[in-house]
Amino acid sequence: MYTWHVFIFCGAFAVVCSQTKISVSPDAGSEKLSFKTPELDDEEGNSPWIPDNLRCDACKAVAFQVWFHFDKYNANHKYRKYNLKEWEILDIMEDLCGNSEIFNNYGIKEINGVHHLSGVGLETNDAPGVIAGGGKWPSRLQDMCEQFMGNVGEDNIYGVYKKQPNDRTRLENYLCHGPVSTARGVCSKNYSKTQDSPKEDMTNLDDEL
Amino acid sequence: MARKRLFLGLLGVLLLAACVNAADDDIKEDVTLEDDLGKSREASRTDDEALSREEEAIKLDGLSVAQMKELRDKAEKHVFQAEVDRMMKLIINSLYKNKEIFLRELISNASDALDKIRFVDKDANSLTVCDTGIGMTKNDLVNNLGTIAKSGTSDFLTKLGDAQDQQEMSDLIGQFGVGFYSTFLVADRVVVSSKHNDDEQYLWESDASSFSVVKDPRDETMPRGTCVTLFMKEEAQEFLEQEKIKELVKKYSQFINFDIYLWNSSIEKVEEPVDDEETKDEKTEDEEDEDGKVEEESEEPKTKTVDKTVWKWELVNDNKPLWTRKSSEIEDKEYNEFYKSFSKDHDDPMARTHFTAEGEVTFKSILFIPKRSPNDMFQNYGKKYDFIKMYVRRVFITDNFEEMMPKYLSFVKGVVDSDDLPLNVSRETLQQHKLLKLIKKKLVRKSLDMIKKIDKEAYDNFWNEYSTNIKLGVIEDHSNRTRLAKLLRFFSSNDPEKQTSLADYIERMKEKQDHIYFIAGTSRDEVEKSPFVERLLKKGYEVLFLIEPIDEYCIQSLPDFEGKKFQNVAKEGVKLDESEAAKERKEKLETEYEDLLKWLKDDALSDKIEKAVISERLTKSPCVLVANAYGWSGNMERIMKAQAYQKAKDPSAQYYGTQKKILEVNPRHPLIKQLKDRIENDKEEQTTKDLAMILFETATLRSGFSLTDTDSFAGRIETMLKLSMGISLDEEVEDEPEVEDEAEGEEVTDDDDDDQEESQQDEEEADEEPEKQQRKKRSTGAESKNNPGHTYKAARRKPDDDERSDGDGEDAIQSNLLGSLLETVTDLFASDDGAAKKRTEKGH
Repeated sequence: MYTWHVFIFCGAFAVVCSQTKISVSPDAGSEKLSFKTPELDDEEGNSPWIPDNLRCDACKAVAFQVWFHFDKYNANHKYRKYNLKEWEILDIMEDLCGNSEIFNNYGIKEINGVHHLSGVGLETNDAPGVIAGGGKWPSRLQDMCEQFMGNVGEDNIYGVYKKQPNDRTRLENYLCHGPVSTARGVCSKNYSKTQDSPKEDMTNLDDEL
Repeated sequence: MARKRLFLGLLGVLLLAACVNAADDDIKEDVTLEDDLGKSREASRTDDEALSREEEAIKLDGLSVAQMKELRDKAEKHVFQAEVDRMMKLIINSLYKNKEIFLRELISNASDALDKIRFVDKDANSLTVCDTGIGMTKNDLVNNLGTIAKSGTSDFLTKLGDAQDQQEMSDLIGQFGVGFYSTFLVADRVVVSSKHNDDEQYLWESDASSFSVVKDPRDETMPRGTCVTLFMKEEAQEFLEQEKIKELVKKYSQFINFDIYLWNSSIEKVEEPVDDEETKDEKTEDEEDEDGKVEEESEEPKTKTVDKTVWKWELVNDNKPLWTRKSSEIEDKEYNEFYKSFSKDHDDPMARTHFTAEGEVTFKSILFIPKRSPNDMFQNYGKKYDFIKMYVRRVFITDNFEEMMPKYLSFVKGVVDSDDLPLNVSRETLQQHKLLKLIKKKLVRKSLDMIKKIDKEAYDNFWNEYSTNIKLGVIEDHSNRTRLAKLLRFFSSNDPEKQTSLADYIERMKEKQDHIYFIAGTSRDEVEKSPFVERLLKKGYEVLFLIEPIDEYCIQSLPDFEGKKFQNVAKEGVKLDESEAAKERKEKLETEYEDLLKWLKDDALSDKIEKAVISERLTKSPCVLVANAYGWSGNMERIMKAQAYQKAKDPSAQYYGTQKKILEVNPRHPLIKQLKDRIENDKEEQTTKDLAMILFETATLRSGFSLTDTDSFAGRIETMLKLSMGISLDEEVEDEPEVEDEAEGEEVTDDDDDDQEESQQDEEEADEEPEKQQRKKRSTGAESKNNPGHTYKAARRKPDDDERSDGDGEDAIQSNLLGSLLETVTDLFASDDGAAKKRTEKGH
């Protein structure tokens, strides 16, 4: 079966907590910190897909990882001056989407009675609480990552990143706050579930000779 | 042994004389043989001409033994650079199984250097490949053919050491420009004569241990170019066969830019003057012909038809690279012919796409979908293979890269020709590997695009052949899932025969419907009659019928389609009516049935179900067993249990296999109502518990699951049958009548079987007379199986029959209840519900 694991964030994080946007309930600040593992419902625990209420969180997590890996690669290949080859971009994305370890540390954290996704790159990461991570999360997030490759196109994503590599919210906005009717709009208000068919990102393919 | 004579020529004509660069890859549309190149070779007709031509040929390259000896004495001796020596040995030792690649390498080298290719020549047991490239000077010969760039050597040696198989090794040697040395796989001795504009013609000769270079003593036999002559090893004689050479040229160099000619002999019928004095057998052909000529002049020729061996240049790469032409200028017929020529298929293709991809890697490609899928497509599904022929600048590299197409698209046949890859591409080199990945990605997209564009009528045919591939694609190719989902077709309640796309389903969805409903099973008949779809169909919802084994997997790999989620109607979560009134009504029912539901879960079926709930999906059936939203449906359980490759005691299979299901009861069904009434009186009564158990068991079967304890189930059913037919539960089975010893003895004699059997039958009949009669009487009840109403009535009548019943009120109710349950069971048995029925019978 899937392995679930639990992270407990408390104590040392308390300072950081106060600065996050997530307001922490008064109890959390008191001497006795007692965190419960969030109780997952059937969908949260067993569905192969990301539950609707967590899709936006998940999108932000994936967007962060994409940004982080583009950035890491460029830091190691400074001489490329962000001009990466198509195959390099494909490579970075495939490595990221195929790596379950990267997404294994994401999971559900209960904050003020509401379930959030928590992990690196998410504001909920610093809030005190217990993360129910692992389980289905790696494959769920990997799938979202792969959907971005297939439906948005890694070269398009990189193109957005390249314009302002230091601004990680730019990529998040592009991938998660896009047009409501597309796969890029999961965080947009009035996100309707209807998605457009993905646009072909093969503009450089002459259809017929 | 006859002297084998083979001439292999590469002949190409440049449009621009200035383009001496090997990189010039323009297609030469009007390739013609130059007349001045070995004029006598043109239009050769007779053997004597062939012979004279041969002499000329020998003059070109073959030197007499004495001449060669003299040359050797004069020649500058060289030893191979140590690395070259080592490398040659490595090549020879590692590629011994793949000798034929030497020809590919020579042709590739020739075409690389090519400006214009010239004829070739050979001597006994030798094969010569000539080109009219820029040639080499003396220094070039020494440097190019005796040393290799230091930097490359160690790299090459390391990689060759690491190479996993022959294919990889053969890829490597070309890639490092050391393909030439592969000639020593088949040749003892290699002679290269080359003429460069800046130097005189030189001869390079080697036996693989050392080499020598000497000025060619012959007159300059070519204006410019290189000839490589291989003196074949004893075991490599097969490469001197014309057919073998043709085969190899076709395989590797069919679409090379330059024409390749083979000096080829064939048998032709020719009119020949009859020689009256044809007596001398030892006459040479030369003489014969001379005689003929003489006669021709002197008298009216008498002619006869004879077989003649004719030598002429034969164009061996006549298949023009179609993909380099504009698609608008290519006719369907040409595409089809081309497809047949490389695919070995007899039918025209079902669909095709012809495109150029540009960007980081530029390539041209034509892809085809065969009309029929390969018979063994899924027998080797685990193995990687594809039907994409890979070319680099028109030179064939491989037809099984295993990486060009994902498994589910392995049926796509076609060619890919890239100018951006090095001539001898290798999977091992990082960058090339990455470029291949890009090519693959684009090939997949174009293939899916091609499938999408198949018109509606032809699509049915496509779907017949390749539906499983597309479904596998949905499961395996996550990033293209959205594209693949659009190609799916399923049966549905909308049409008895035609399959529907998901988009069309959504078009027909009811206004407030937000799920795509589906049910999976073994046949349409089974799923159509399933209790799970009863109410949905009655209310006019469309349900997809997934009746292929892969279907449920496939749908489970799709989170949604255009925002609509999928709902397996055999799993929990089906909510048909979410209006306030409906909710209220349900809540009322839940309160009303609370005791029953609780009793079922905690008491009667305590370790068998997760919970019991009021059903929203039933009309006719009393209850169903529903899988958890993320558990196995009955269909899935059946498939999973049938997995031949299943790991023994696989924890996930055990988890899902033993997961408790939800029992949904139909509050409007008389059986459930009765059950409710009964438990209000007495929760502990065994018969009531039995009833609940049978209801559970029949629900299990009806819902497509299998029973774990079939024997107890059968026992309960038989008890019910006895009760409904008024047989005492205590009545015992009669003993089998003893067969007399005598009869047995006679049977062994085997003299007249028929009589024997008859008499035995008679005997048995006589023996069992009372029992039989009894049985006949009862059969009236049994016959009414097909008429459940009758059985039900009969069963209800029983309590009134004082003679039969003990007059006990308790028993009367019991019979009453069981009677109507029997109705359910007989119903189940009489139905055509194949799977459930079979399973039940098996259980018996």
